[in-house]
Amino acid sequence: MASDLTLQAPPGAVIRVTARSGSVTVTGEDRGDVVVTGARDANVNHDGSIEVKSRSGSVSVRCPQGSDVIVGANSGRVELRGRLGDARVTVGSGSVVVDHVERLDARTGSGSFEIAECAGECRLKTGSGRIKVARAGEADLASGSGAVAAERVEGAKVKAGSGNVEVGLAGPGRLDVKALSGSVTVSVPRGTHPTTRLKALSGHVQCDCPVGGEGEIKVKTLSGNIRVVER
Amino acid sequence: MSEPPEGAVVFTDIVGFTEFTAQHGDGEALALLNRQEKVVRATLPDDARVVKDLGDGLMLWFPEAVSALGSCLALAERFEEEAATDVPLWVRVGMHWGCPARRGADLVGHDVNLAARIVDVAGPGEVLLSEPVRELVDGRVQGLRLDELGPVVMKGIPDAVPLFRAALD
Repeated sequence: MASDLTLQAPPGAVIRVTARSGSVTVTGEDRGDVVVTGARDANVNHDGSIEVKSRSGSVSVRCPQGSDVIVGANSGRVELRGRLGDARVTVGSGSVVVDHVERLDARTGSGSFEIAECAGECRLKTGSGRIKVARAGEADLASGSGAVAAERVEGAKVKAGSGNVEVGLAGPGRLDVKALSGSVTVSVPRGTHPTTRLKALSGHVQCDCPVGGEGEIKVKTLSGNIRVVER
Repeated sequence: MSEPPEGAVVFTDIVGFTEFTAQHGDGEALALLNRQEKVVRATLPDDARVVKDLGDGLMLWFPEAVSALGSCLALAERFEEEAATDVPLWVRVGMHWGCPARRGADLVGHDVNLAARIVDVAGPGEVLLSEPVRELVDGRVQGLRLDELGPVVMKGIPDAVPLFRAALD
């Protein structure tokens, strides 16, 4: 069983984790120190950041809530649990799961995203994998081949290859969706009157909400259907 | 032809090309590749060259980092404009600065392999670059914003590599 390594982190320390293979879990919780389990190496850098390195196996980092996190992994699942600050994650192949972060910039070559809450800007890229966001501020989402579902966002840019896209706008925000072959469904709060620019090169377009000047919804597909609905 | 040993190795890749070809056939795909080549050649400075055609992407060589970045950003922007008015497809770009070995007109070696890995990390419409490129372009391009992605662990590359996303404000 891997032993714990406890590091005293200065307030606001950035947690940097690199892992060649295996899962990475970073948990932001009510504590002042940083506890690392399963890593090959863990140090406090000169700039006060915490550097955690792992070659294989699972690595777990428990840190003060609100910590900024940077994770680089080749293969394996990355989980950001609890409450964390700004997070940047890059994974070659593996999924990313997030409870709550302030801002997120994450990418995976092949793997899915499951984001519960990102308070601010949420930028997600996957080559092949599903994107699921429950709640976010402004979102910038791209999937080569996988469905994109953003339940409540203030605004979004979405680029999708072959998966369906579902976006729920929290209010009169700006939405720009470009999709190749998937269908696109946009939902807006009842009573919202957005400006719409909907174009399907070889698909069906349907707008079930009254149009006006509240926010802007731009959707373009190559062969998928487009639908805008009230909820 | 004589060119300096150091330079920028750039890979481009059209995102969604396989799906596009499956849906629209080889004729449309060929037309798309011709458009890509036309856009690339229009943005390349005289001292740069297309090293080779990779099907849905290209390998490029630039002897100067700032003009290389300028060309790559222009290329991404042109594709973004085309996506807005025509077929929604994007290009992604990976850049690295190094001293690759020559094999005729071809370039080979670790620096080439690393540049090829970088483009795999890029999302649609993104231009990503390595630390050696950042050192050469930072502060030399007006309006350039470089966002650090953090250490990126890539298949076949021994150490984690810091990568940056380039964009113009």
